[in-house]
Amino acid sequence: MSGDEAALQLELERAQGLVELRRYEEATTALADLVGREPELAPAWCLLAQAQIAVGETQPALEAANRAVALAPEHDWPYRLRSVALQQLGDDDGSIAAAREAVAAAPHNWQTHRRLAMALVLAKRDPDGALAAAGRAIELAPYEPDAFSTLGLVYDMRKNSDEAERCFRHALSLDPQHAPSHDALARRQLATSGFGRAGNLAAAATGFRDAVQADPRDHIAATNIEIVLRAFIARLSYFIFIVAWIAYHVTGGSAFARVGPLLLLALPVGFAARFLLRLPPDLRRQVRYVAFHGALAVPAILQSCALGLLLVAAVLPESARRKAALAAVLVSLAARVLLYVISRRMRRDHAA
Amino acid sequence: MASDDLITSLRLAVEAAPDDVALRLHLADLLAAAGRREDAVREAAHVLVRDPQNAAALRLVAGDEPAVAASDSEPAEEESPDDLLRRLDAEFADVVPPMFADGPPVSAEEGVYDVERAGVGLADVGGMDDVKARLEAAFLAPIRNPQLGKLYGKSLRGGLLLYGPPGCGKTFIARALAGELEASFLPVALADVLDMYIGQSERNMHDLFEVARRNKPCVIFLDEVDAMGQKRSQMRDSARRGTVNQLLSEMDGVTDNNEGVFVLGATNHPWDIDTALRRPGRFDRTVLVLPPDEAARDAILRYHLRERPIENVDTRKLAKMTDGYSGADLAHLCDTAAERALMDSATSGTVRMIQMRDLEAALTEVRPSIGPWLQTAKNVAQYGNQDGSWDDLLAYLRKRRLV
Repeated sequence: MSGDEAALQLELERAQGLVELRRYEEATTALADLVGREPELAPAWCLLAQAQIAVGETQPALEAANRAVALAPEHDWPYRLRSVALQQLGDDDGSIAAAREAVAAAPHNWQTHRRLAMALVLAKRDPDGALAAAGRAIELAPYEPDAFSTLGLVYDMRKNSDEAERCFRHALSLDPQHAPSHDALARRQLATSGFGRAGNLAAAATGFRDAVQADPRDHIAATNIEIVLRAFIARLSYFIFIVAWIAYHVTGGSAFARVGPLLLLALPVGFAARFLLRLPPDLRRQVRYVAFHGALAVPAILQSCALGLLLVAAVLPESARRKAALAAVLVSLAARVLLYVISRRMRRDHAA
Repeated sequence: MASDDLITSLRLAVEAAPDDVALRLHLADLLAAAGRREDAVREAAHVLVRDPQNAAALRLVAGDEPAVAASDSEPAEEESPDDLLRRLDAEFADVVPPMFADGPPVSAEEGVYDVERAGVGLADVGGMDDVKARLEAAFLAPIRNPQLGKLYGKSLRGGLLLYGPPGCGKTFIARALAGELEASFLPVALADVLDMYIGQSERNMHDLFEVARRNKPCVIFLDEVDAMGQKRSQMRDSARRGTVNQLLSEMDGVTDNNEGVFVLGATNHPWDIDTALRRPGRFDRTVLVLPPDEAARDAILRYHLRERPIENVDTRKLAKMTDGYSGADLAHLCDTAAERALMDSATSGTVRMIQMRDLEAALTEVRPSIGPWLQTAKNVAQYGNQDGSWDDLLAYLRKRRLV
């Protein structure tokens, strides 16, 4: 290897290091400079496309991938990158076609089959083809967590929840820090958490927490924790609203009229306790902090007030009891409306 | 006169290489020669931002002749005085002894790693009293009192990790720490260590520590230590795993004595560092270097404006207005204000000083750049803090109501 070639190789290695370190902006700058000087260097174009995809510069990434395809049509990497870029640009047909070209170029490489499976899953097409491609990827690389998480997504598309979960769990057994699998399992928990299933909600929050821990740049997982928290407060407000509504409508001085609503309070209290106790201690601390310091503080405090009014109502004479129950209805309703407004604002912020 | 095509091509070239002063100056000359004075001044202004003393650009802005006379014929190449001396040296080498003696060659290792004297101390760091206090307690005090260290069985070695958002002075603080210790300073970047040949990066790492051991007391400063000590689980390239392993073993001083060798690391991404590197005896002390506080911002602004023509600039007021700005952001702010005053002077033909209004206008353009860092830091501090490693970061984020 000549001195120039060695220097070039070293430059490529450094750029690859930056991509591995996820310093995509720095990598993009270094690689743009490199391809400016060495426009025939296909791996540099590939790395540039990879870095640009990561920072959301999809159109330039597609152009870089196309340059790489033109320079190295016999390699699969440029086709895989073209497939990803086209997918992000909304061209599902093009993405699937590029993925198939990648498979044709390197049928021995598991990543080409995985890309084809992903292209089909994201386009929601040809579930059998996706299953075959993901299966082939696993045959070629049974040690790769990415291959199993892809198969999990294929099973998700085929509505085979048990198999999907098994795949994600297997991916985690291969790499306990595999963020996409943590994320996918947490999403499944969230999707299956019925109205009163506080345990599933807590498991979803924990799963998203694990995903963020594995990859702190996974802002979507961090946002999902907030979504779970909002879902928890929203469900709690419904419970309190129902109990307050019943308390308001139960009249008379009987023991049931006085104690019944109090017993019903066990529902929201049990729900909240179950959710909080299922959370790991660090997440519980964080939830407590967020609930009383962040944007969710006002709805959380209003819920606490509604709960307090209901408790007080139990010891008041009937007319005052009904007034307190009505106040609890209104306060819990206000909390829910406020939560709705906050959720919309958060969604808008995240979209921006 | 230059054709429009040539000017267009040069413009594209300048866009591709905006820091190439010579190229931009050439474009400015051609624009001036083409009678497009305003465009020429704009390009010259860009040159002056990067090189404030550039005589050719100053002449252009002042409205003198183009810096390089446009000529149809190629000027004859003249021999520079240095070239002439070199030629004569070679010609009369056997008669006249050489002018300068180069001395004995330095060893390959010493040549690769430049051991420096720091030349600055913590007193030169503006503001940041909290950081200085932590550095004093965690690092400097035990080293300054070796007898006490011996009494308590504490060895004079170890590592300190400086982390925080980019552009907040970690490198300067590391240099100042070396200055405080009156130790040699050995700054190392990724490019100094990483080598494509298998085994060479590990060897480079070993050589680096060897140089430090020979020059002790010595502070090795590993800039961007996350790149050298990345989590091995994140690496697919086994060659780079070897570099991390070598760094671990060098820090442990398994085969060599590290007494008097202090390792400072700086990183913007501490969450990417291999957990093994943060165990006792390695980078077991961490200091969060935050964006500069008000006093530090005042000092930084004064530093960047000290050699510029300014008039009635209230740096204290500016320091109040720039909460959350990094040191690099503040430098950019001063550059932008200078550019604005310069353009104004060039357009009006009257030279004027940089005024408060230029800096205030620049504030609307230059925004704090640490947002993306804070986003990731938030995730880490909120959801990755089981062992309390990020307590100081979490406290900072809570104080600023960012979580």
